[in-house]
Amino acid sequence: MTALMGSRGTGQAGQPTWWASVMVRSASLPLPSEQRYRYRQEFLAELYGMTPAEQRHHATGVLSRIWTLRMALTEPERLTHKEAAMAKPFLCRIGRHRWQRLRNPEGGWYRECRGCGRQRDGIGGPSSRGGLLPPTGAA
Amino acid sequence: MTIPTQLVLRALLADPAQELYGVEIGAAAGLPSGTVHPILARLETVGWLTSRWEEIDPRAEGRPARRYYRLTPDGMELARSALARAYSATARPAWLRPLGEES
Repeated sequence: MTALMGSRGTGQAGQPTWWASVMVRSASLPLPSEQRYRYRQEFLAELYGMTPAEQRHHATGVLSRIWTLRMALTEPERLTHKEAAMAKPFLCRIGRHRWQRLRNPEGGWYRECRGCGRQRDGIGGPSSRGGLLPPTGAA
Repeated sequence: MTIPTQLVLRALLADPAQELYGVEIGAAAGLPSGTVHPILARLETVGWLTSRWEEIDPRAEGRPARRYYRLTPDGMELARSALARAYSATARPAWLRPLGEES
């Protein structure tokens, strides 16, 4: 990627490999017909200046997320929920959170997952919740 | 708002006057290839982003024109406030947040 970033506007960009071109051209096929040409051109243009390994990585990434892009173009509301689920790290999705201890403004402790931001109040049971305020039902 | 969307908005807000194309946005946001375009498409649909084709002579440059994205003036304001809301929501325990506030 750094090679690409450095090549912006210099006109020294490398040509995409044939298989990367085929991959991104194929990737655009599931897109709505009115958007297909635009994204095909966009994906192809992005390959210029990348090394073959970067092209493979990029083309694979584009291909693997093309249905998400199609959904974003056709059903933007549905994507929001799906994307929210997928944004959570895998370990968090299977319940393996990485908890860290943090203080709240009242001086009590709570735990927060470093990966997904899920929070738990109290550490070590009710006895250690000294500084915590009770949940405010209707603030 | 999802974390990848926040990262994309942060990348675009770093220099709102600068236009970036998809791979540059992905690199700035630290997101893998393919993740950025669905987010850009959705933000463009809701009017936070605008995009245009690069104005170059492809023969002279030796490559096709790229698609450049930038935040709209409204999108800039909305993105800033959305990021501030997301930050304050994750910085406080759930029970300290006002009712109805979402991340």
